Amino acid sequence: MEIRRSTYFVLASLLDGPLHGYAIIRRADELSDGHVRLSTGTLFGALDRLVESGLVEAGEEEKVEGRVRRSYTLTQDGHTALAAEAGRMRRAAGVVEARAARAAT
Amino acid sequence: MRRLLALACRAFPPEHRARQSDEVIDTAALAADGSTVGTLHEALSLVGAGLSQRLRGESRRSVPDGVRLLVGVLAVVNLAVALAGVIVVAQPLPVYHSCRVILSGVESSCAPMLPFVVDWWWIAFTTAAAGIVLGLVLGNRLLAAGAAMANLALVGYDALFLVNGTDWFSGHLAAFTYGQQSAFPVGRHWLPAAIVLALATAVAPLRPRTLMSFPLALVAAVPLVVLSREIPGSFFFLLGPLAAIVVLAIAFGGLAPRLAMLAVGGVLVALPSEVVCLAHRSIHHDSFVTWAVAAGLVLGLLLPLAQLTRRRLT
Repeated sequence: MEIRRSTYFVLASLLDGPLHGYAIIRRADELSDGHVRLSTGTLFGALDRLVESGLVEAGEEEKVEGRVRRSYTLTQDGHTALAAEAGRMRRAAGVVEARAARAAT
Repeated sequence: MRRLLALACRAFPPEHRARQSDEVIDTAALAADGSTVGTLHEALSLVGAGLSQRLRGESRRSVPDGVRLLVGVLAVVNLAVALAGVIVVAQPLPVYHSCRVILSGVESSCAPMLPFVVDWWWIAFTTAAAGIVLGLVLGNRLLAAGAAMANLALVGYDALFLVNGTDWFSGHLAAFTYGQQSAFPVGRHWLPAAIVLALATAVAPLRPRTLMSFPLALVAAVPLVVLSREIPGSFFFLLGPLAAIVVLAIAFGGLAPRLAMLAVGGVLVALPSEVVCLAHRSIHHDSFVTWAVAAGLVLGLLLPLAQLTRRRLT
């Protein structure tokens, strides 16, 4: 199953541990060198699908500095799906790089 | 700004956490970082995500959910018909003594229409129509189904005892033909709607709503009443939205059972009138249009029904 780019970076941002919504937005921005700027709608749309498919687990709601937030954790299935997607992209990149290298020599 | 984000979150289904807690609004407010453009961007993204959620949620709806939606829509239209009728009979338009032509051109005799009076039938019909809406709002089946049966009895009495054969200028609903070339509902046209409404009210899973929903239903009926006065043909304009629902149901009925159910119910209401028109084809102006509408209605009935059946079997 191919994962959308924005969803890939949502999953990737959770690799180092649980994060809440806004932290995911910032982490995805960092990891993609500013190429993936998640809007709140895109983020929660992706989180809804990921929680539903069991790739991400939603924690309990908490109030911090007057703001309501909830932490999201990558599940084992999430780790597996993310690793599979990374492998797929590596293989896809490998096809192009190998041909480009052959063409150059 | 926060209000705008909260408003945008209303695009999500009521059970979604965007509606249940401030988590999504707080996240959007942080992401917007206080800028107006940022807030607008976040609000738009929330509306998009909310609508997408609603669309995905539709596929999880059941056929009984569709019956409930059908009952709600029919109850509001029925109330609008009753209110529009009372307004017409209370304030009759100028008399036209020329021959009137109704429903795609069925010519009739030119009996004088005045005086219209708000008699017991109109009062009882309006009360029953309001009773159905109130019963649905309260989630009270006894009230809703009782009022729907009373509504059916009143419309049935008018259709069977007061309407004289194919003379559309007889019976109470003749008020809608007043000074117009075509009109709906007249004669026995509203009987199928009353039957569908009574049956659907008896089986629909009812859910209590806030009392605010009652005035909201009245507010929803007002534009229909106004349009019935402004557009020639009284409620004939409803054929447009019905056609749109049928087309959408044919396209997406497999994904959205509520849409398919709404189309099936709507077509069941409109089809008998169309059959009557076909039966009296000899006095029609344009039989091609009538046949085309009838074919569309039959397709609009069969295809959504097939989609609902396939959904139940798989």
